Amino acid sequence: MTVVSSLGAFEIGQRLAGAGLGIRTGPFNFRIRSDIPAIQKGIHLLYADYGLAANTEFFDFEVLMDRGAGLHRWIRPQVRFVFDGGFPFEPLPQSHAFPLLEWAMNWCISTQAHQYLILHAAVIERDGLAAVLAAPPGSGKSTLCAGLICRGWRLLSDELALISTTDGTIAPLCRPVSLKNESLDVIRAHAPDAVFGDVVHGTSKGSVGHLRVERRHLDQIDSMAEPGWVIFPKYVAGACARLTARSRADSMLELGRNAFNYGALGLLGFQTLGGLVDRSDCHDFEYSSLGEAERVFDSLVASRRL
Amino acid sequence: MHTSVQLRLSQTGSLHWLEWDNEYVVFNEASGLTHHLDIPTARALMCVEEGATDMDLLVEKWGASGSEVDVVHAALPFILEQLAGANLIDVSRE
Repeated sequence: MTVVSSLGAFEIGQRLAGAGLGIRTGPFNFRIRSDIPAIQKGIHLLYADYGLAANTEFFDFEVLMDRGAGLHRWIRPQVRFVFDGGFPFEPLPQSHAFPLLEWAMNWCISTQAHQYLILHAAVIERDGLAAVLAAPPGSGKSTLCAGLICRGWRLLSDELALISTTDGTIAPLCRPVSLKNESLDVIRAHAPDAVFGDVVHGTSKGSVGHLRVERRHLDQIDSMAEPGWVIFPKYVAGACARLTARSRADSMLELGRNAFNYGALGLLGFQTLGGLVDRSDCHDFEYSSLGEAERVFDSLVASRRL
Repeated sequence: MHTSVQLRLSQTGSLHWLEWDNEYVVFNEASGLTHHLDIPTARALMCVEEGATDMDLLVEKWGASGSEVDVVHAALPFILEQLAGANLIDVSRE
């Protein structure tokens, strides 16, 4: 497979500023266009190992990140996400360009890819079984996900769980992991070799940085995972890592509330979500230490091997 | 009197059920809403779904017998109120 880094930084920039750069992220092909340096730099660093899609291929999503209009091209420069000629988001300061690109890519998937039931959840995998980590923003979901993928778990997604409506398996997206504020330092301490893109300060979510996904995860980007666990994580300062069983019925309702398109899918959404829950052990999980969390998650895997 | 209460599903459309460990989840295809029900509430809704159109039929379909009949009769107003509040059944009094 030809990967993005095979082009070199100059050619990546040329394609982004010209006809577009095609990137494969799991089941989707994105064609991205932008002449904004922060986006070119971010893609060169964080998408280097992703598959390159030729411009003759089918693209699921065409994403244009352009410079602001009017005076904002020069004064307080802005970045705008353009999709099908429209502007789904308000323009942001141009320094926020790379996080906006990531949010835009998430938006494309979560509003369009209704061949999947899409949950707001991270997904990691071990021994072929997926753990769906579902929680509202600020619960420590992405931190836990980042911590575990640096310790042997495979990344499927840090933000969007893609559940197949045909067979209930979970598709990898494998995009860079978005970390915010204190989580950045937590993961730097936990995994000193981890590579991050530029940290952008002052966004609506605070300081945001993206963790580069290691090649070993991308090598399995076409491997679907079977549901194994549904876990609702919550970071609680000072808490010992603790799993508590949660009823499947309650878990299903909670997952439905955290879905992007459960309502839109109707009965198919109910059947798909029911299938996910039926095949999963469901737990609440409190933690404060990634080391303890790792041991608890490893014990989940060990219990399935018995 | 309880016999004057008329019951029916509130909207035409199928109900779809899942059950785990004596907890029920039901999807109302007509409304697109999903509900989490405990055993008695689920059982009452199933009885209405199976054609119980009044309290006596409901208790009969419930399968209550002996002293249980009075317990079911006592609990039903609250259960039916919950189901009506969730727009799963219509309760009319004649």
